[in-house]
Amino acid sequence: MTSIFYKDEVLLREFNTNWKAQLTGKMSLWVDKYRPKSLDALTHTPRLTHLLKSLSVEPRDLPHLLFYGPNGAGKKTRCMALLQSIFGSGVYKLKIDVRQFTTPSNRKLELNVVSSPYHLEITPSDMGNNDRIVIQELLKEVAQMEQVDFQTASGAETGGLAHRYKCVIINEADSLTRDAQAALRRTMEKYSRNIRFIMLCESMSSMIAPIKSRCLLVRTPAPTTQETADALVKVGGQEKVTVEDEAILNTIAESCDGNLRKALLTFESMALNNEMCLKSSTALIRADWVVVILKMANRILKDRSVSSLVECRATLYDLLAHCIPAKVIIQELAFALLDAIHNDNHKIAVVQWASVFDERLRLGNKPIYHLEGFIARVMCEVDG
Amino acid sequence: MASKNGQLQKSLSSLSSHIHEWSEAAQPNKQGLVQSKKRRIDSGTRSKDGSSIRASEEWYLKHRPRNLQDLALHKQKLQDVRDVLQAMISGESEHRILLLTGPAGCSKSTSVHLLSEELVQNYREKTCTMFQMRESAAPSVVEYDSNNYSLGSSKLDHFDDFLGQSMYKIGPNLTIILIEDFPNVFNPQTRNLFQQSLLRWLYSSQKALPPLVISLTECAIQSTETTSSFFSVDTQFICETVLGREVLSHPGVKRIKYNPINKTLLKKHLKNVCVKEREAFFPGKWEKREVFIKKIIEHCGDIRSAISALQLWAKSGAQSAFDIDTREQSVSYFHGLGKLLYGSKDTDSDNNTINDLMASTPLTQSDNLKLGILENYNTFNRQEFPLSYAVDIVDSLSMSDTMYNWTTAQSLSESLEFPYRAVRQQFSSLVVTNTKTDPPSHNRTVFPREGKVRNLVKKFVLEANDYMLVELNKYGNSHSFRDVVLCFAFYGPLIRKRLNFKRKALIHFLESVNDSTEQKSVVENNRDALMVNDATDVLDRIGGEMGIVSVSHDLASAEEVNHTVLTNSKLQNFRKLQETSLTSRRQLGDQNNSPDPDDEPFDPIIESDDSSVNFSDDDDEIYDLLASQSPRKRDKMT
Repeated sequence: MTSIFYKDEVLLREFNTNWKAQLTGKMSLWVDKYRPKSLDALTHTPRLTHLLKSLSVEPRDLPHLLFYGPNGAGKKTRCMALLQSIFGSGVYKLKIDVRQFTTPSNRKLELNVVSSPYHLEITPSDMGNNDRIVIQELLKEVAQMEQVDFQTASGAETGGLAHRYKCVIINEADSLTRDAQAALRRTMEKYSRNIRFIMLCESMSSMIAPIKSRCLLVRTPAPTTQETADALVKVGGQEKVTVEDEAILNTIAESCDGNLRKALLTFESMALNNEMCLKSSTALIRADWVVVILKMANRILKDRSVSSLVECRATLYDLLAHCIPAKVIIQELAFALLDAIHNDNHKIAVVQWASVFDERLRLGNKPIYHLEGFIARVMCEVDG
Repeated sequence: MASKNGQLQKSLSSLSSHIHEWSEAAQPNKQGLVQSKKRRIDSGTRSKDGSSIRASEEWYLKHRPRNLQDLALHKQKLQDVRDVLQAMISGESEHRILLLTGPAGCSKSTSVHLLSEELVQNYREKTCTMFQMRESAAPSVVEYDSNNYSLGSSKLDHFDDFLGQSMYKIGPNLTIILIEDFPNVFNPQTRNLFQQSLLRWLYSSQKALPPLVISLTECAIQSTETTSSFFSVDTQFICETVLGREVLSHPGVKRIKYNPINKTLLKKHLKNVCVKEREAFFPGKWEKREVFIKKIIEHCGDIRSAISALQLWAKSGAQSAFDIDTREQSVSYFHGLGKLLYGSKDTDSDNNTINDLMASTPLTQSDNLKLGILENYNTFNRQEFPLSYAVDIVDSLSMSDTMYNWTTAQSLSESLEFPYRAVRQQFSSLVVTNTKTDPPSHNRTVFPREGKVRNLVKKFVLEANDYMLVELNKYGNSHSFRDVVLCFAFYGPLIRKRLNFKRKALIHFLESVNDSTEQKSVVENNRDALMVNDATDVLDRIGGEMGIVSVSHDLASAEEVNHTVLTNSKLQNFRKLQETSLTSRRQLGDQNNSPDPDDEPFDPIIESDDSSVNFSDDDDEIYDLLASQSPRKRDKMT
C-alpha cells in the first residue's frame, strides 16, 4: 500500500467521522454538475421550455418526440428534464447493463444499455450495421414485458403511469440505417401503448418520412453567444471563479459556436489552469484535435508540396485514430481554411471541393483517400 | 469460419506440397504418386537408390539435383546459406533459427537437404568416435510433419512436442531440423502456440541446439471471403504474418531471402533436362525446344513448374501447345507496388503490366494495394514531382473508393483497376521528362498504416468505454460516444488532472491544519477536487496525446505488439473498473451510512497502483509548498 493511498484512507475515515453529511451527492465536471435537472431550471430558449411544460401536464398523451438541433444545444438535457417532470427524479438513477444479441450471421454482439426504471437509452453507432436486429430485439422485449405491469399497476395515479409506458431514448438517431428506421416505424405503431420514443438527432435529413410524421418535431436551437455567456457567468458565480473581464466569456462563447457543452468544458479547464481567475488575456483552451486541424490548415496554405501532403497524411491518420469522424475533420478543416484564405476565388474552390469530398466520404469506405484528396485539391487550387 | 479454415487449410496444403494442379490433371495416370512433399522426398530417395525409377516419373523428381553443383541457385546465395548453416552446426553461431523465404520452386528446401547432407556428414565424421560410427547412417535432416500424430498427443501441442524431441539431436546425433510443413497457422490459437514454441526455442537455456531451418514459401492467398481486407495470414502467407514480429526481430533468427530462379540458370537446367530426356520427346518437338524454353523462362521463376511444363509440352502430341501456362505467379505486395509505381521492364507496355497484374494475383483484388499506393506514391523519385500528379493520383484513389459496394463489402474489380492505371499513366508520363538527366531513384516502399491506425482506434474505443463507465458508475452521468470523442476525451482528463493536483495539495494542507472547523470549510469548498482519485479517474488524454501516426517499415509491429497490449489493457481496465465501481460505491455508501442494497459482496483486496508510488516521495516538497499557499488562496475565494 502506497503512502498516498494511505493518506486517502485516513482522509476517508475522517470524512466518515467528521464530515459525513457534507459529502453527499455526486460531484463531477461542471458541465454535468450544473446541468438543469428539471424543466424549471432550463435556461435558454424559453419558448421551447414552455412547450415541454405543456407536454408534461398531460403525460398520458405524450407523443413520440424527435428533438433536433446542433450538438451541445441541450437536446438531451431537455429530454431528461421532461422525463423528470413526468416520472420524478428516478429517471436520473442510471444503471448500465450488458445485453447480448445474435446477428443473423451468428456473431455475438454485446451492447451496453443505459437505463433507469423509467426509460432506456440506445445509441445506434455502438451497434454498427446490425442496428436493425438490436432495435427489433430490444424493443420487442421492452414492449412485451411492460404489458404485464400495465394490468397490475393501473390503480395508483403516478405508479400506474410509470408502468403504462416506458420511454426509449435513441441518441444520434440520424445514424440509424434505413433498415433500422423502417423496423422502428413498425414498432412505433405496434407497441405505441407501451413505448414512447424520444429521438435525438442533429439533422433530420437522414430520417425517413414515416418516422418524421409519427413524431412531434422539437427544434432545439443552439444558445446565442449571449445566452452561452450568461450560462458561464452563472456557473462561474457558483464555483467562485473570478472573472476580471466579461469579454473573455464572450470569447469562449464565440469560439464554441453555440455548443454549451464545449463552452462549459473550456471554461472549467481555463479556470482550473489559471487559479480560478480569468482575465481578458487568458489563453483560450481549445480541444487538441481542433488545434491540430488549425495547424494543418496553416500548413496547407504555407507549404504546398508533396512532402507537406505526406506530413498532413500522418496527422490525418492520428485524427482518425482518435475516432474523430471524417466528416467533422473535413468540416473543421474547410472552415479553418476559409478563415485563413483571403482570395475569394480560392474560398469558392475550397467550399466546392469540400462538398465534393464530403459526398465521397459518404459513398466510400476508407476516409483517408478522400481527406487526402481534399487537401491535395486545395493545395493545387491555392497554387493556381 | 470452419469452412473457411478448411478451405484455407486445403489451399495451404496444396501450396506446401507444391503440386501443380495443372500437372496432376494433365497426367491422370500418375494419380497419388506425389501427394505431399513428404512422399515426394521418399520417392526421391528411392530413386536415388536406383530401385524404383519409372519411365513415367515426373521429370522434376527424376532430375532433382543430386549434388550441390546441379542446384539451380546462385553461387553467392548458396555460399551464404552454407556459411550460416556451417556456423550453426559447429555451434559458433549465435543464430538458432535459419529462415529461408521466397516463392515456390526456388530451391529452398533442396538446397537445405543437399547442404545438410554434406555438412552433417562432415561434422559427424569429425566428432564421432569409432564407437559411435555406426550411427552415421541416421538421416541428416528431420522434418516436421503436421499430419503425423502420435496417439494421445493433442493437436495443439504437436509442434511443441516435436521441437522438444528434436532438442537433443546434438553432438554425434546432430541433425538439422527442417520445418517446411506448418501447423494450421490459420487458427490464431495454433499460430500463437507455434510462435511461442519458436520463441521458447530461441530463448532456451540449453547451450547447444541442433540447427533449426524454417523454409517458408511465401504467397498471397485468394480469400473467398472478405472478412479481412488487411494484411493477415488469411490473405498474405508471408513470414511477417506467420511468424510474428517477436520471432523475426530476435537476433537468433537469420533470414535469407530467395529470389525466383533467374533466366540463365533456368535455361541451363531446362536444357540439361531436355538432353537427358531426349528419347521421351514427342516426334517433332525436339527441334522446337529452344523456342519453348525461351518462352517458358520469360514468365517463370519456378523451376519445378517450369520442368513440369516442359514435360507436358514435350510429351503431348498437340502441335499448338506453345501457349502453355506455367504455374501462375502470384505477385507479392511490394512487387506489385513496384510495378505500379515505377513500371516494369519485363513487359513492353504499361498496359500489359497492368493486365498481367490484374489477371495474375489475388493481391490486386483487395484494398491493400490501393492503400499501399496511397502510402507509397510519394516515394517516387524521392518526392520530387509536381503536386498536380499527386492530386490526380489521390483523386483516382478517392473516386475508386466511392465505388465500394457496401452490400457485398467488396470493391468492384473495375474500380480497383482504375487507380492502378491512373497511377501508372501519371508516373510513366513523368518519367519521360525526367530520365534524360538521370534515372529516378526512389525511397523505400512501406506497408500501409491502416493496421496501425486500426489498432489505435481499438485502443481509443477501449479507453473511451472505460471513461464512460467510470463516469456512469462514479458520477452518474452518461455521455454518448460522439460527445466523448469530440469533447470529453480531451477536456475530461485535463480537468481531472488539474483537480487531482489540487487534491494532493489539499491533503497536505489538511494534515497540517488541526482546527476542525477550518478543515470543514476547506473540504466544503473543494468537494469536487477531493472526489478525484488517480486510481479511478482517467487522467490522460483518451487514446494518447495527439501527434502523428508514423510510417511503419515493419508490418508485424503494428499487428502483433498492439495486440498483446490491447488484451492486457482490456484486462487491467476491466479489473480497475470493477475495483473502481466497488470502492467508489463503498466510499459513497459509507459516507451516506446507507450501503446500496444491491451492492455486490466486494473484494476487500485493493491493489495498489504502481504509478502512485512514483508520486508519493518525489513530489512531497511541491505539495508542501502548495499547501503553505493554500490558505491565501482560500481567503481570496471566501
